Amino acid sequence: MSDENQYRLSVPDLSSWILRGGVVLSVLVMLCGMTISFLHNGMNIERIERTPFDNRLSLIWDGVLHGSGKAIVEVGVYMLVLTPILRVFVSMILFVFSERDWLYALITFAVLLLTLAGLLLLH
Amino acid sequence: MFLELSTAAGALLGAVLLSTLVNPKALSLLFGLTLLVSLVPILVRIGEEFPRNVQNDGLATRLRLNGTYFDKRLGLDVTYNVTGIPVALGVMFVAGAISGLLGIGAGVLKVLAHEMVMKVPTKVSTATSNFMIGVTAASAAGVYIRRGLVLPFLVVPVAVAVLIGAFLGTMLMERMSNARIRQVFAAALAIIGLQMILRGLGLEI
Repeated sequence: MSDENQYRLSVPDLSSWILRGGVVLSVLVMLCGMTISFLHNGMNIERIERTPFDNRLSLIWDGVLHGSGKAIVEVGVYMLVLTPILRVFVSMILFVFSERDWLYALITFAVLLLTLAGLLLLH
Repeated sequence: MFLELSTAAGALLGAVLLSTLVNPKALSLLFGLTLLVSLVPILVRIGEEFPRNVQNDGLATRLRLNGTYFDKRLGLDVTYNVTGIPVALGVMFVAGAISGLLGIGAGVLKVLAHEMVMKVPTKVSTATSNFMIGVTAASAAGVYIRRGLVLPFLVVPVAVAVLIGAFLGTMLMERMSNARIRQVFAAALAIIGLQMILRGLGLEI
């Protein structure tokens, strides 16, 4: 059993790496977008307060293809929101395949459904 | 993870339903008062390093919520039990709903539930709450993004500052005693409580 344990990824360890990596990565993406936007248009308080979030993914995607700094910031925001959801998803996979802990797999699945509902379904 | 179930449900409810039904000002006031009142039991036990005489309750045993952590400051493993799960679930739901509505409150109420209801050591309670906040926030944030209520350029400086603060705070927390962390928490509780009451009265600072 001890042999097996050594090579097994624990749920808390992996979760912590996903959270750290995801947060750092999304902040870096946001900073890139902010810098690009700043170089193109300058930045002032009014612009920060008046610029709304594109609520359609296709708009954001078009923006990224055109090199829009704002769209890149929005991608970063989405990455930030998706980070904990990814963490829940990976935990669920580990509970099923690595730990074979069905009770926790089920609980994690329910958490995943709720978070995804917030992102995808509800207005 | 089990408690996240309850808190995520609350966050969704807060962001979706309550924001159209409940007056946020009244809620700020209520939330601020709740925090100030809960300051009392924290202050009573402010010098305590570990909760004493905690027995696992039935649910905690079935879900294996008790555990052990390595305390860097003390240099030894600390074993703890967990109690009061049903009440904690209720508080988590309320915490989720309030944070979905006010954008604040999830962490504070979660730490309160961990400390006062479940009686886990302070370091375990702050760490666990940090772990859970992401789920609460993501549940509510999705709704707000789709409504176009998020300001993308405002997110960036906030995110950078929070990230730096969080890394520094985590490093500090490992080296501090549980009693000292509780003192910091009590101060934060007082400040946020007052600020929420002021916001509820319409006096923004």
